[in-house]
Amino acid sequence: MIPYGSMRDNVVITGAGCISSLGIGVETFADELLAGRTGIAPITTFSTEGCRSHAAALVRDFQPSRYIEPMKLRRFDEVGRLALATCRLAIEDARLPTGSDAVGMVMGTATSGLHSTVAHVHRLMTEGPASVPALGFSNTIGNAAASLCSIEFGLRGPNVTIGQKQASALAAIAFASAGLWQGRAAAFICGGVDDIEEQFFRVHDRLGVLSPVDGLEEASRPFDARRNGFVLGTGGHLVVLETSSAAARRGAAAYGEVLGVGASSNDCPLNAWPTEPSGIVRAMTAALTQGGVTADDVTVVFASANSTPALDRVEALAIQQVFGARRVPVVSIKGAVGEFGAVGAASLMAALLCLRRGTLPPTVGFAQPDPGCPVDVSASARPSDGRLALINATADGGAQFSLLVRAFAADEVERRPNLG
Amino acid sequence: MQVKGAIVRCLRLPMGPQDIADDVPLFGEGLGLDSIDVLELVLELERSFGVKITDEQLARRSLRSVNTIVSLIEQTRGQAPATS
Repeated sequence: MIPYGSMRDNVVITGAGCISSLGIGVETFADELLAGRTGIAPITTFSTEGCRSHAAALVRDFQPSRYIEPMKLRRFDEVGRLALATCRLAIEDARLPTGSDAVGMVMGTATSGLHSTVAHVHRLMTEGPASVPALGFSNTIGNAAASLCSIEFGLRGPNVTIGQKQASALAAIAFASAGLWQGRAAAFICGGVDDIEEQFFRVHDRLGVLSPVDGLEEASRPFDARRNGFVLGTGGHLVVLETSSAAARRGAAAYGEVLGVGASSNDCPLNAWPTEPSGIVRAMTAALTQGGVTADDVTVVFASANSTPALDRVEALAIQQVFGARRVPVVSIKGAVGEFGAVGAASLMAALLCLRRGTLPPTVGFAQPDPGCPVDVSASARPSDGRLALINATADGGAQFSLLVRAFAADEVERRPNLG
Repeated sequence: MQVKGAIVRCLRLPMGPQDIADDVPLFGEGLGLDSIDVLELVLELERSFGVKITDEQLARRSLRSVNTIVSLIEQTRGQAPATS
């Protein structure tokens, strides 16, 4: 049995699962990010006729039957399948013993239940109550994805689903970190999973928040002077967080360590981005304070900037306020993978793997600096020898999370046989 | 084959109607269906064949295999045999 943690334990990242628009597996994800590739492409899974926007970063190369038995697969919708497969990859990567009271799940998602709910409502309205399929009803619940993972892998610790829109995954990781520091479990599988459903896309398109073909190619351009909205993304990004004592007991290797978390709210309307930087500043400062470091110690900021005129500017001002005159390198991966609830976990793994490799990834889509965004963004990959990353996630409506992590060098902790 | 087609369709089974033998147990060791499938199957039999399964005993007796389902449909209709 895995021992529970204590408040003195550190929280380490011992595994990661990734199913993304840049491919499958975290190493592939990092390879593609560092190469400057984008997962954004024209949508082919449903019609975008009549929409202003037609592109998204959709998961590629994903064959659910490779991860889930056929008799189970028929029961799960798109997000459930993505969650189970990503969870399996994370568990295998961490070599985490499952079937445990001490392992929990914290799932961040903005779309769990959505596909099945839309399908049910459609059948209800067009064919009547008797035609609504009973089989898929359990998938309509928002915590379906987290529950499926717990059932499949016997994760009998705390099971939580967090919906904080675009900040869902980072909120989940912050929550799980706090849970481990409080000794509530030995390990949490946490992060996020999201998929795009047609109506979900069309609502975003109608709201006018997506990058349209507007004299320019439709694209995500974080911090760029030409940015004109975000591009929706999809993917499963889950990590295994574990107390350092539990990881040491079973001889598990780690990608890095969570040093601090910060959470705050911005005072802004329900579907709007923050208009001033104080909320983002407070979350970043809280993470630094808990980690016992200063802004000068931070190697890189993985920003939440998503190519929205308002958010990118406000986050740039927040970074400037926290780091003062120092031009800390800033990266946003949303030019490559788009905007979605799981993206904070993707930023976390991008930070840990890229710092381990000594290279910061480019901000895909960034080419023309915006004087209104006074931060050091790079259009190309660049060398870096630091180890500390500050990761931001902002949700429209004002939820804000920041995570301070330290990346371990590949040879810092050797991967040893699983003793669990 | 009509009944088998309905089972495969409503339960989204990863097989074709021809893969289900007439007498294979639908639940447990046979086809591997479970209690959630019962709910869907009962609704489907009502929708497609007008068969109402109103109590648990009848469900246990009638949903053992394709053969028992066909018998139930025949009894309900009291007419020409349904095809499996």
